[in-house]
Amino acid sequence: MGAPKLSKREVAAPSAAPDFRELFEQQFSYVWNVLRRLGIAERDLEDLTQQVFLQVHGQLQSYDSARPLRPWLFSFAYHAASNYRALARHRIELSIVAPEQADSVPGADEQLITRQELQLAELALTRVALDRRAVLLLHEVEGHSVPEIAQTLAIPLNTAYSRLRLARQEYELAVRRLRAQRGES
Amino acid sequence: MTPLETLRALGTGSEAPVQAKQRVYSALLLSLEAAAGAAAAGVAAVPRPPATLPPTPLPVLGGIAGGKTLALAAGIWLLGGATGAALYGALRPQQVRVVYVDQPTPVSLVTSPAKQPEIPAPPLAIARLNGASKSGAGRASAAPSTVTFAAGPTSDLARERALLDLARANAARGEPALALEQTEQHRQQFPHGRLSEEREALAIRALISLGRMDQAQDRAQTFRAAYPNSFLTPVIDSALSAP
Repeated sequence: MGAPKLSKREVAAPSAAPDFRELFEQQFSYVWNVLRRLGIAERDLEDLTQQVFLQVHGQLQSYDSARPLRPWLFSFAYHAASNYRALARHRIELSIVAPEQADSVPGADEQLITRQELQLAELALTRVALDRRAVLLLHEVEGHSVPEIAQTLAIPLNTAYSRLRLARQEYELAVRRLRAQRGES
Repeated sequence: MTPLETLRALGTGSEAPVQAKQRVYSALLLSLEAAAGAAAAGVAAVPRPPATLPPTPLPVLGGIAGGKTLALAAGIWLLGGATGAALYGALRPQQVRVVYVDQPTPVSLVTSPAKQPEIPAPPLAIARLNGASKSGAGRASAAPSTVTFAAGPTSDLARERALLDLARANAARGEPALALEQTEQHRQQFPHGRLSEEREALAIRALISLGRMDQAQDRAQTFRAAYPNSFLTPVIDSALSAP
C-alpha cells in the first residue's frame, strides 16, 4: 500500500519563507490542478486560484518553513473548494466537471498506462466525496503520510485514516462502474 | 495495473494554461494594490485621540452648600476624570505595529533613529505605530514616509520590496507623482534589482495616472522589449488603453 515516493525537491521545505512571486511562479500549476481535482468548474478556476493565492499572500509570514510547502498550499485550496461547494449552484455542476486531459505522465509510466485509463482515473476521482477526495489526493497522488495529512487538513488522525479507507473504496467502486459503463470487464 | 496504481500515476497534473497564469497574476496584483490602498485609507481613518481627558462632569448637587459641596464636586470631578481616563484607555483604537519581515533574517522596527540606515517601509509597516499617535490624523493623511530598520543583514530584496510597496501604496491612494518618485529612487538604488520589472510597470502606470502618455508609451515599449514574457504586460496594456 506504499504511496509513491516524492522527489526531494517535492518533499523538502525551503529553508526560508518563500518569496511570493517565486512561489506563484512555481506553484501556480499545482494549485490550479488541485482545485480542478477538487471539483472547481473550469470557468471558476481562475477566480478560485486567485483567491487561494491572495490568502496565501496574507499568510505567507506565518508559513512554517520546516513543513513541506505543497500540503500547506493544498489546505488553502481545500478550504476554497469546500466553500465553493457550499454554494448550491456549484454543487449541481460538480457531477459534470470534465476530467483532466491527462497527457503529461512521466516517461516510464507513459508506456504502461494509456491515456484512457488516466482519464478514467480522473473521472472516478470526481465521484469521491470532497473531504475524502482531499485525503486520497494527498496520500495516493502526492505521497504524503496520513499523519501529515491530518495536520494539513486539521482533522483527527483516526478521521484521516477513516477517510482514506472510504475514499479508496469509493474510488475503486467508481472505477468499476465506469468500466462497466464502457463495457470493459 | 490496479485503479489505485493508475491514480498514483496521475501525478500532480499538467502545466496550467500560461494565459490563465498571466491573468491570475495580473488580477492578484490589482487586488493587492487595492488592499494596500485600503490599508493606507485605514491609516487615514484612525481617529485622533482626544488631546485632553473627557470633560469634567457637571456638579449635580446644587442643594448642598459650602465646603461640602466643594468637596463633593471635587470628588466627583476626580472620579469622573479617572473614569474617563480608564474608559479612554479601554476603548481607544488599538495601536497596531506590523513588522515587515524578510525571513529568515528578522527585521524589526525601532523607534529610535540612532545610526541606523533609513529605508522606506511598506505601508502596513508604518500603520499606526505607537510613536506616531502624537502627530495623529495630520500625519495619518500624509503619504507614507519612512521608518528605521534595526541593524542587521536586511536583504536587498526586502529593501526593494519595501520601497516598491511604498510606491504601490501611494499609487493606490492617488499619489502617482510620489509613486513615480519612489520608483525612480528604486531605479537609482537598485539599477539591476530583482524587482526591476515590477518597478517599471509601476512607473508606467504612475506616468499614465499623471497624464504623461508619451513617456508612458515609450517606457512601455522598453518594458516589452526587456520583459517579453512579463505577467505585468496585460496590466500595462490595459492601463494604456483605458480611456
